[in-house]
Amino acid sequence: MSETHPTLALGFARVLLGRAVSARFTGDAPWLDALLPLLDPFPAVSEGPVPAPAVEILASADGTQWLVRASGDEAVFDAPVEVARQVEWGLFAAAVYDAPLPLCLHAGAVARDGGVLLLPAESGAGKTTLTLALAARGWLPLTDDLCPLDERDGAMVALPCPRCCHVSHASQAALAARGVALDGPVGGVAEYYRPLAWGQSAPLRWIVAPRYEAGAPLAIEPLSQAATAALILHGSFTHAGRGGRDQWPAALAIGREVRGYRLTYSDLAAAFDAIDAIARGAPP
Amino acid sequence: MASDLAGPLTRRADVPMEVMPDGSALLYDPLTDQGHVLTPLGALVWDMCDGTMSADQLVAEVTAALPDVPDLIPTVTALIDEFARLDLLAGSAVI
Repeated sequence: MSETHPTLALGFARVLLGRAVSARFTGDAPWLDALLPLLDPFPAVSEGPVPAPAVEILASADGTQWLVRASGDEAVFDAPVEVARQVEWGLFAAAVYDAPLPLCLHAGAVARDGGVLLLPAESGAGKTTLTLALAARGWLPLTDDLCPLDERDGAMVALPCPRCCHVSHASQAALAARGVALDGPVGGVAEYYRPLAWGQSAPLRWIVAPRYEAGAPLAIEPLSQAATAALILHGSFTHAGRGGRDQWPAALAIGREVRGYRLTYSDLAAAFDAIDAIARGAPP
Repeated sequence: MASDLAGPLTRRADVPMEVMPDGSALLYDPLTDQGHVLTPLGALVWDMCDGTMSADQLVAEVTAALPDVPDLIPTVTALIDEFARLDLLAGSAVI
């Protein structure tokens, strides 16, 4: 591997979210065939010191099982694809923890017309489907679940994170029905897809916290500025040595500057219309 | 009685409040690393928990200041009780 560093006997290092992270492994590594395509858009570390490995993968003596250590957890896998999933997650968890950014949010994000719509939500709220489906209305995804934010020229700017999206079979069907094509499964890993095109960094303009509920009527609730700031604070991943108190100024700034809404929906077309209306400044 | 809390209500000194331009406000509790959203009325009540008034006195003060606002007593009582439930008040005792 070209990215193998002298300090990593067998290993690799990538720059994720502006932070170099590395993994070290022993023995045969058939899981690399699945993992490396997942990491493809992220550059290898080409200069400077490589940090201590955030993930370790230890092969069993007979080469049929792998112990993966990441973020203080360890688990044994016997399928290379499962090793790849776990290592990819471990590398991103380490990068988020150390990311040199004011905020990293658990949120989808899409860009259009030079502005970004942030979609913060818990897992299972439907943000991956909505994030990718908005391509049908000209919105390009920056991320489906991990949105880095940086302050540039006094504005909060959302950055792309071209990590693979975890797209369930149901979401794949919903997206196909809207004519939204995806690239994948990446590395042959089931349910790991990328959009055909990514959006560019742009200032945060709109915040919509989506919630899919089967059969629910469309509901849009404007949020107060404090509720919008709280949404950002609660959706922020914890950084090394930085809790909510350190993220508080950035969350408050966003709450003051960007209008927030809660959106409950069961029909994607209705959600699209509501989001387009919010983007036009005329929420229904 | 407005609330079961005894004695003057004192907000915790380590919990900052930021009032936003629209009047809503956000508290940050460093012990739980949680933010709490307040309405403008909630921000007023929090500000009045300065150690000079009991719950009853605070409710009377707010209702006197906002005579046209309906259902104020239960709303203010609920706010005070919520502050206490979230341990945002210093040394509150329930009687």
